[in-house]
Parts: sequence; C-alpha cells; structure tokens
Amino acid sequence: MVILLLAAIIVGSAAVTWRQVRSLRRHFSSVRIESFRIADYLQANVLDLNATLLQFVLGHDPRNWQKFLLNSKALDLWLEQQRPSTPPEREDLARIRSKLMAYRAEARTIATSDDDSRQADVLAVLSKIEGASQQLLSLGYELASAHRTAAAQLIDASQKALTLLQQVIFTALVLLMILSAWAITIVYREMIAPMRLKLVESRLTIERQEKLASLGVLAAGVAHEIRNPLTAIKARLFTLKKAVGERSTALRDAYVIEREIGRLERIVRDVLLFARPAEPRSQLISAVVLLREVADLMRGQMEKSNITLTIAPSANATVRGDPDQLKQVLLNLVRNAAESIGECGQITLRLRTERTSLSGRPLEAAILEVEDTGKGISAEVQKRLFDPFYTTKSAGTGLGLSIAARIVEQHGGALRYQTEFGHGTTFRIALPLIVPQAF
Amino acid sequence: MAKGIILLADDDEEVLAALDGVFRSEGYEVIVARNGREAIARFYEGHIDIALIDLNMPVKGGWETFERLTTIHPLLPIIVITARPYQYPLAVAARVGALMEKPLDLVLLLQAIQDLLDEPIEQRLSRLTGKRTITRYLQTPV
Repeated sequence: MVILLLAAIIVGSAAVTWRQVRSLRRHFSSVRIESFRIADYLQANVLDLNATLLQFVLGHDPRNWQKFLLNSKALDLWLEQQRPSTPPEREDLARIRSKLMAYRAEARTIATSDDDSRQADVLAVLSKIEGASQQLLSLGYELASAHRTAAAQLIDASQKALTLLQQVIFTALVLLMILSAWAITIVYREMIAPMRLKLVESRLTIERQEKLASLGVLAAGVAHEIRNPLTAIKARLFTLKKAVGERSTALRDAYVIEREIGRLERIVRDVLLFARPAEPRSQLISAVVLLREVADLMRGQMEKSNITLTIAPSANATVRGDPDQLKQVLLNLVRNAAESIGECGQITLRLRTERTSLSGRPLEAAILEVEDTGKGISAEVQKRLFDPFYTTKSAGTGLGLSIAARIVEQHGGALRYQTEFGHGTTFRIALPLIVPQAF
Repeated sequence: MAKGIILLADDDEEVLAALDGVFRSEGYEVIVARNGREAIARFYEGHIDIALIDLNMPVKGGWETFERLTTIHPLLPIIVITARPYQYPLAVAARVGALMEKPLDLVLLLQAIQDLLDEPIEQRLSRLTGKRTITRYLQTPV
C-alpha cells in the first residue's frame, strides 16, 4: 500500500515536471516569435510605407500610391494575424492597428488633395506623414517594451519554474531512494533473510551429522576395543564366582566387580546409542496409548517415592514412530522428573496438539508433555542440559537427555522444555501430527 | 558325558580362554579356533553341536565363516558373538540362530545355547527356509 502511494507520488511529480517543461518551452517559443518579429517588422514596414508615401508625394507616381496601399493592407493583415501572449502586448497591438488606420486615412487625405496644394506645402505634408508614422513607431517601441516586460516576467516565471522543477526532482529522488530502501528491506526480510537462516541451519545440520557420523565410527571402534577385554573379565568372574564359596569375602568383591562391569557396559551402550541411535522402526502410534503404557510401567516405581503419576485428560493424536524408542524417551523423562522431585510430588503426562516449527517448517504437531513438581533446572544447568556426558547425578553417564533428543530428532520432531527454578519442569516431545485423512 | 560340543571361534586369546573355562565349567566340550579358516578345519575334524563365532577375525571373517559352515551343515545352530555394534539387522538377514553383543551376559548365553541345542529340527528348518524369523537378539536388560 505504502509502495503504491510512493509510486503514485513519484508519477505525480514526473507529470508536474513534464507540464512545467512543456509550459516553459511554449513560453520561450512565443517570446522568441513576438519579440523578434512584431516590433522589428512593424518598424521596418512603417519606415518603408513612409518612404513609399514620400516618393508618391514627390513624384506623383500612382504606382507608388498603389504600392503604399498594398503594403499598408499587408501590414494590417499581418498585424491581425499576430497573437501576442500578454494583455499589454495585445492592447498595444490593438492601438497600433487603430493608429495604422489613422495613418492610412491621413495618407489617403494627402493622396486625394490636388497636386498644387500638395506641391505648395510639401513640408506640411511631410510633417503630417512624419507625425502619423511617428505615432505608429512610438507604439511599435511601446510594443517592444511590452515584449521586454513580458520577457522579464517570463524569465522570472522560468526561474520559479526551474526552482520548482529542482524541488520536484529532488523530492522524487528522495522518494525513489526511500522506495528503493523500502523494497530492499522487504526483499531482504521476506526472501533473503529466511533463505540465509535456512542455509545456516542446513550447514549446521550437515556439520552436526558429519560430526555424529565420525563419532559413530569412533564409538564403534572404541566399543569394540573395550567390549573384548570386558568379555574376558566377565567370563573369568563367572568362573571365579563359581569357584569361591558363598560366604567368602571374595564373592562380595566379585559382585562389586560385576556391578562396575555393568556400569562400563552402560557407558559403552549409551555412547553407541548417542553416536548412532538405531533406525526407528516406524509405525502409526496412538500417542495416548504410548503415555498410558509408560504410566503403567512407571506407576509402581513412583509410588515407592510417594510420587503420583497421572495422565491429564487429553484428546488422542496419531504420530508415526518407533514405539519402543519413543517409550524409551518418555521413560527417561519420567525418571528424570522423579529424580528432580525426590520424595512426594506429582508427575503429569499430557497430550495436546499445536502448530509449531519443526525442522524449520511450521507444522501441526502432537506434543507429549512430562510435567513435574520438582526442583526445576537452574540457569547454569540449562546451559549444558543437552551436552553429552554432562550430568548432575552421582550415577549416570550424562547421555540420557542427549540420546532422547537424538531419538526425537530422528523422528522429525524436537525435544523442548520449560522450567521454573524451585517450581518444576515440563519437557515436551513435539512430533509431526498424522491427520486421519493421510492414511 | 558332555552336554554338547561347542565350536568357539574368536581371535582374542583372553576371550577364548575365559569362555573356554566357562563352557567347560558348565559341562560342555569346547573346540577352539582363532580364525574362520581354523574354525572350518575344526568343524571338518569331528562332530560339532553348536558354533559360537566372533565376527571380527583375521584370515576369514565371521560372516564368511558363518556362510561356509551353513553351507556345509545347514542345520548347525550358530550364535554370533561380537563386540561390533549395529549387527542385528545383518544377523536377521543371514538367518542366524542368535546374536549377542559383547561383553556377554553369560547366564543368558548359556540359556540360549541350551535352547538352540534343544530346538526341534522343524523349527531350525523353518528358520533356514525363511518361514519364521527367529534370530534372537540376546540383550541384558540394563
């Protein structure tokens, strides 16, 4: 709308400029014609008429009289055709025509008088002709002066028009610059900025994928090298346990060793899972059923710590995913929630749908929430929450949330959270919603 | 009287010795091999009830050895033991009896050995012919 308005202003300015230039050109043309023709032509013709009349008076040649009549008519006709531009010029021209008529009448009086009387007072005749023509000539001068005034006015008007023209051009230029800046801003904001953002996101994703792929190769290699000695240790421990008596202190040591081996196994497994989670065996799943299964699995364990685990009333939603992997994510979140609460509290599982951005695109999504009344997450911990190997627990690899986030990402979703320190945390698994018509 | 004869193929000496001790303590007779070629040679030498094959072996790798043994004796129960991750889809495609990732859960492994030894011949046939996919993924619940 604003662009259209600015464009209209620029077009309007261009039209005004065009009109001004045309008007100036017309004025200049008319001034040139009037100034150089009318006054000079008049003066030259009057002098010529005077000369012809004088020749007639002196020589009595009727051809001179005919010539005078013809030339004076031609002058009158020419004057009639002139269209001066200013009122003073028009007035002067009218007066010139009337004086020309008077001049011709005077000339006719001289022509019709008899030869003797004309001869007797040549000087008086000459004086009459002179008088009549002088009036014409002075009117001619007046006309020239009127031209000069008109020219001065025209120059003044031209100066003003040029100033206006300058202002119009300057304004149009400023408006054009504003319009261009506006257009550039809009193009940048609407097209270039989102494309750049997408490019950066894609680059980051590729970098991350490359890093994770390298990590996968590294993890697989390291896992192989660790697992073989662990196998030998476990096998030796197995035979050792059988060899020592049940009441032996060595058996207790064996159990400790076994537990520690178990810990090493978990670390290796988590690193492998983080580096390369198994490909989801996707199928259509009811999200509510998923929440119900997790609640049923964990309820007993939660009750031991006086934690109530409930499912908030939710409408169902269908998602596509690996039920085991998604269950693993939810179990992890519920365990974290329980650890945040400690003793006595509430964990609520909830399902809702909303439009949200997933993989850089706005999508209808199913949001699976795990809300707790625990301690919340401090700002310090939040900074590193998804960092691999970062943990606040005494036992744990610090890979749980990283793995959960990776699994959700592999499902085309996102793992998000909202927390209030001292009041609780809500983790949200956002997954693309499958609408019933789609399958 | 041994509960069965196990062919154990692994290139890691410590693993080989330790597992040999475990299986013997459980009443099995064990024939060891340090690579795939040796495993096939041992198999030709005498009767074998079940084979445990590591994947990462020199000379002849685990999958190659599995293929060769299956060709020689299609009904031989084979358990793949490996320290390599992500091998289960391959094991399913190859119709392996069971797959267990190292470090092994020995209780689970011994149970799986016994189960495969007790497996009816029809079930082995149906696994081999692809009628049933019964590649067991032996995992310890952690």
